[in-house]
Amino acid sequence: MRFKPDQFWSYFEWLFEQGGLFQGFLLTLVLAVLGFLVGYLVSLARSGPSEGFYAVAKVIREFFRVDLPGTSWRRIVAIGRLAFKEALRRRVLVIVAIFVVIIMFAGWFLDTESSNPARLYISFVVTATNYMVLLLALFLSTFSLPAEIKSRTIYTIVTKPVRPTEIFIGRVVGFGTVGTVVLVVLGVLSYLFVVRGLRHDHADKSFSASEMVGETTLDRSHKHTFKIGPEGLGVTSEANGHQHTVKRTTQDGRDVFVFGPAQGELGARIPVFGKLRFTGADGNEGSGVSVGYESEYHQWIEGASLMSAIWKFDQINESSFPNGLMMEMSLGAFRTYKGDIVTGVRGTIVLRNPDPESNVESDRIPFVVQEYQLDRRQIPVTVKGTKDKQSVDLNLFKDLAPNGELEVIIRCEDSGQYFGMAAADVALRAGDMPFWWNFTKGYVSIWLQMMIVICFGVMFSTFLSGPVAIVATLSFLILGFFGGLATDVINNKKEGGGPVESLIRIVTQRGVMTDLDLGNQPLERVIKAVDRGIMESLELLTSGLPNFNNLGTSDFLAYGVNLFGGLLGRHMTMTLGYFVLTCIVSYFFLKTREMAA
Amino acid sequence: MSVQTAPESTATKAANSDVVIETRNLSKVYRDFWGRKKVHALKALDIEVRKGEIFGLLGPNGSGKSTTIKLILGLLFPTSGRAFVFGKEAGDVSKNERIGYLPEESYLYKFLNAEETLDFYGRLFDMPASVRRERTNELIQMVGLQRARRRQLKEYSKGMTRRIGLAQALINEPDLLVLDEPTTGLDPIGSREMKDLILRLRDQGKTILMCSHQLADVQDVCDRIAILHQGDLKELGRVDSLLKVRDVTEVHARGLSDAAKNEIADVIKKHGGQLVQMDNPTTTMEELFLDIVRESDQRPGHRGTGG
Amino acid sequence: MKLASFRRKLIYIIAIVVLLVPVFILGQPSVPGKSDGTGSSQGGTLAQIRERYNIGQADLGQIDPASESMKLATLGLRGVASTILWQKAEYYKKESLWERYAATLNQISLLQPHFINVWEHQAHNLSYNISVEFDDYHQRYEWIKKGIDYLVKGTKFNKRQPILQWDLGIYTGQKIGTADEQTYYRELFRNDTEYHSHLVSEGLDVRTPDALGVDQKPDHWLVGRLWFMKSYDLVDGGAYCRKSPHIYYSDGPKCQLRFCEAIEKEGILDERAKYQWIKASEWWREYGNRDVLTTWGHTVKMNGLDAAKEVYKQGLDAFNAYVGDAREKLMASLRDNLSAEDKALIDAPADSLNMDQRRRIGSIMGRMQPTTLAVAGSVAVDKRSKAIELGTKVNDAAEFLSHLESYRTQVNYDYWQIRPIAEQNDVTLRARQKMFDADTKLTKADVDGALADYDAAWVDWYKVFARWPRMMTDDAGIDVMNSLKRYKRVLDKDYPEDFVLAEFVKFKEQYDKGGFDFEVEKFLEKWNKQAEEIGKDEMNFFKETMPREMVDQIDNNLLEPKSPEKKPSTDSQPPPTEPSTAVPVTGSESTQPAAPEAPAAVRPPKLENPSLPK
Repeated sequence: MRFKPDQFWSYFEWLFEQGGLFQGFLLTLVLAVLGFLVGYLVSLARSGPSEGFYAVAKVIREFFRVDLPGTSWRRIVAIGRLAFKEALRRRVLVIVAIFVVIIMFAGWFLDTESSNPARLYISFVVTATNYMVLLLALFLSTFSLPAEIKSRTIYTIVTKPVRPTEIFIGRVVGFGTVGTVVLVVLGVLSYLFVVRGLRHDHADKSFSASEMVGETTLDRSHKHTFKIGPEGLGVTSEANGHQHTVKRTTQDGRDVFVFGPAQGELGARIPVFGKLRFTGADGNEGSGVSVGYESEYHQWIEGASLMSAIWKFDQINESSFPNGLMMEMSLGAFRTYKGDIVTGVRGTIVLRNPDPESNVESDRIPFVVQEYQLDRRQIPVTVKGTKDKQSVDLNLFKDLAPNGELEVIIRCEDSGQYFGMAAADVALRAGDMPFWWNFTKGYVSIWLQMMIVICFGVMFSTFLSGPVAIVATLSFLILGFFGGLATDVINNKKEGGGPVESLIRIVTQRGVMTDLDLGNQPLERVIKAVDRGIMESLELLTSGLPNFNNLGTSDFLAYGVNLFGGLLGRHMTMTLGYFVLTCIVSYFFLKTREMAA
Repeated sequence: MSVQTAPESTATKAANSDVVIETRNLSKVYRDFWGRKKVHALKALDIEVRKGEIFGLLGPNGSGKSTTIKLILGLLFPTSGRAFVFGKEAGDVSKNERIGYLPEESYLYKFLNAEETLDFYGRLFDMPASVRRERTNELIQMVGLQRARRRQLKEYSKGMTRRIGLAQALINEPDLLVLDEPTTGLDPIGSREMKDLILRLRDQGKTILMCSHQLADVQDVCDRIAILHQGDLKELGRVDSLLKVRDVTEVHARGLSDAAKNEIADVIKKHGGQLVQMDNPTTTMEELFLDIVRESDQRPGHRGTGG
Repeated sequence: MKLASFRRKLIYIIAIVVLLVPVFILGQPSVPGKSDGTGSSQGGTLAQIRERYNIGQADLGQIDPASESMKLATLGLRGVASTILWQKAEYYKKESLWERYAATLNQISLLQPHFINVWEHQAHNLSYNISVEFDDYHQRYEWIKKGIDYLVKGTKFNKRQPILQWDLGIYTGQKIGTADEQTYYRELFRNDTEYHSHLVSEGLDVRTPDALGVDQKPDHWLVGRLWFMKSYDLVDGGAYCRKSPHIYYSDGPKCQLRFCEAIEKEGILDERAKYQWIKASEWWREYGNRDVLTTWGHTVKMNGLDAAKEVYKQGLDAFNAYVGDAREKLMASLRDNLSAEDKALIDAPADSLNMDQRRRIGSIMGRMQPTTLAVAGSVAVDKRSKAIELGTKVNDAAEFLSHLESYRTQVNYDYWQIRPIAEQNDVTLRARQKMFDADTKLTKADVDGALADYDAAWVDWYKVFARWPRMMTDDAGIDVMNSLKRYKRVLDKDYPEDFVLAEFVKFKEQYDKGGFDFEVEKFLEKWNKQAEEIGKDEMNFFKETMPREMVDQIDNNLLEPKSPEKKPSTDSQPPPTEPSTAVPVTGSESTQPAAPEAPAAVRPPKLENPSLPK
């Protein structure tokens, strides 16, 4: 999987250093001003300038003075319970049945022969659960309120001392509870499905008693070799990301081997990422180069030059890494000439104390690049190195990272060849999390997405009819996906320009790669400016929308990476933000809506 | 018999704590999607409902009585004018604490049973569990649904639905009860029971605003009525005084011979009167109502002054 | 009430059942028959229609449920769905997310399993474009296999699309065998027993003797040939393939040729190589006998050159005999019409002319050559129609001949015919062996041994080149030149004056510089003539350079009663690499006049792994 650097920010780093809080604040401000303006305009049209202003002010005042303090938890629970009962009455549990059917048949379609069945299985169940739960949330949340307004049951609610906030929160709570129940059921089913689906067994195919090594049969398109220790116990080699234990017993003079269940297939590595910087060809701080790939994910350093990639890690301490550092690398290699086909491109790793005064660095640790796979490398606690140019044995934690900070420098050694890297391509593995825990966290992430959908669904249903609310919610969510598009258009990464320019190109049948040559410079400038304005406002708008691309975390489960607490916390905060936002918007809509109209 | 019709100033109203509902110049125009005027549902209504009385809104379908009730409850917003309940704006949620509302048809949750329904509405009044239980039992007893308390509302007959609707409206022991067509769909016995209940509630000191097109209901229970037609207030006053036709003298007698009847007729003739009818009296409420409707149709826009 | 609802439900159920009947009849899948012919069924109407249009994978048990449900799931928006998936795949490719890329491809192909270009295009991506992105050649090999597997999957969905099988032949043969990593790839393929099993389970018997290399392990070139043969079977069975037939049919036999080249490079230069070359020769001849449809509409046989020449010659003779001296007369009149200057030019002695003038003469002479029909038109009126008839025949024969020649050039038919013959010659094998030994010794720093072997090799090579001058300009020539370079480096001085390959070196240097020029052509002409002479008495020519026992053997064979042209009787004489009796057909009425020694000399060599070049 591929991490974006923002994914491994810690929570507080995101909140304070990366401007999460500031952005949220800014967004709140923008939305508040925007909301006030829209409200005032509507009110203006209804009842004139001064009266309109008075009306808006009154609603705002009431929100803070009356309705917010008057919000009662008991009423919320009452409405929530009602929503829950209503949902059950609408047979939401059918979705569980559908899911069971899907995973029953999924066994047919999922390729157990694939090189990494665990990944396939997990992605499948997580994605299926995700879609089903979101769909459920969408339908539940959008249809309820319009249905009540239509059937006028809402009359008996709003003529009670029920606050608009309670109508919104109660529904969110109720549907959230339904969704949670469904999600938990689906989660348990998924977990069992994954664990059971991956269970497999091997038998021994060959065994050499003299060397005590053997080979297992080919099951699920993989096999292991194994070595039996003196006690008749052993482990197999790693294949498809897992190992088995082996026990050798003798029965009737024949060897009998008992293989244990797969281990390590389902796990959650805890990676620690660092910050990446480069030294350029002149040896000074610089950046990597491009080798001409379209993708800009990697930056490249040239071999046998002064270029190097430097990762700076912090929080390197003995308690996190008692056995030294487990480095996990997935560098790219690029050859400008084919060279030696058999051996890969070579490089070296150097560990360095980031404090330039200390003058401590390890000797070069040579390695050969392994592309597109995780290259694991154990760095022991004691490494050979130099201190003040004296060759000594260095202690990782005392000499190299005395205050928890450590630099890892990677260079390419083959001249003319290149290494490509991004910040996430070198990680230190600080142990593992149990799979079930990671699985739970993954489902919490689905839960958060579900809550966002519910919030938006209920919000739209406060002023739209059911089907329209569904479409609106969907559009809102889909719009979130296109935030990147707007950014790309602004930065000229997408050819063909903005909406106006594109339209002109379509009509005049001009390709996207050609210049927009209208023979009128000022006109072109105007068009581009208009496009830019449209796309920038779109970008601003979409930046405030939930981007389900980023909220999805199924990759973490599938690739066995511990879902970062920071990321989850961030998503939680964002979900809370959306909750508050939709709550306020809903309040104003409910407050200003004639229920009997 | 004084009939209160004059609009009061806010000051006097505040002083006069007797007034439970007050509308001032209350108007409602329904508009279509494009904001074009569709229906002028209510035109400058001024009424006052005082504490402890049963006030009836009477009018044919579409006369604006439901609109009035919805405006008073805050379900609709007035196009102009204002409505006050307990001295608070109709849009204010807190007024609902003291209001019980029985909608035209009992728009309740069909998948709940009587207990759950009452419990749910009790929660909406933020009532603690013990109080809710007590009230629930009390009300179920009161509306006579003991046997059906665990049945889902969708299995209820119309009369039972009405009764649970009323129970729901009473859950908070309201000071003001707003009843929209309380007797619709009820059989004569049910209707009678409902009317008795309403009178009993009035006797407990509750103020009741009801609307109906059932003349008999209004006549039977209302202290005062307002007759609306096409959004206009046509009549307003005490039921007894409204029904008193001043230029008609009604004579009730028993055991008169034909000769005696002729004699009476002669006496009337002698005094320049005209014998209109000498028969068993008709339901005059209906007459009054029909008169108003007839007159209103002939002279649209004419507003009654009441009293 | 209750009764009514019950009756309604009953009616629904009956309606459902009634509607299911036609669905069943229409949609029933066909059941493949058992081996004894029982139990097969043609299936429902839909299955039959599918069969008719060759889109059927609908035998029961072969329906891919994933594909069917994918199609269902898109609710008729298959095109849209596959477009989205395609874009996704492009994105994954751009971002080097290969695993996802491969997974997306699978989804695309499930959506549009009968869209051949998808299979072809994406398999090419997998095997050719993505495999090279990996630094480790093991992984590259794995991705080549992924492309192959993708195509194999495609053949399951498209049973009558020979192009997929043809692609498989190309991938399995050429992609693996001509890559820079060929040495490693070949080795990986040889030992990839699980993949062999996989291929067998996919219906390609890679353990058939024809697919086994010299070490009794499947060789990718030969496996590739099997794919080609499958493809040919389909086309012969009536399927359409959009390739030019002459090239299309040459690819299979070429696999065997390329296989022979490959094992020679790996140092297999004994009887085993000889056996494989004989096989290659045989298959190439088979190809030559195949009827190939040309783009002009007639059918040719690649080895029908002599026959075509004969037809042409006979036609021309008949025509000339019929028209008598009409041609000469016409030429004379044309000559008379030349300008004085031109006439002078023609009559001038050849030595005195410069290049420009020579060219002029060429064009004049061209103008003076009357076409056949012009000649036919110049004869007397009463004979004219017959003359035109004969002339047309001649023209047709000439056209046929030229088409055939151009086809043969396109597939390099001549070369591939001669090459195996030359290569299976003992002297050639010995020349190669010596050279290989010398190269090997050189890497082990055994300079003296190397020089001795080289010297012996050059003598043999001289003979080989003399007999088959074409060898000078092909791979053999390149191999020899490369070894010569090494030789010269070791020698550390110029070649000796009487160096046996001196002429070759001179020629080759000239040739490499600019292909065919005048000098080169003159040289080749000379050598070709010489080769023709040698060909007449090849035995003796090679005999001189052969060791005594070899010569004896040849003599014995010659004296044996059976015809020297006769191939080894295959049932009694197992091929060298295969101990089993299952043997490819190698016997045929050979028209191979150049077979230098009776193939009876072919002996099964010891079965051992060939030593690979270090």
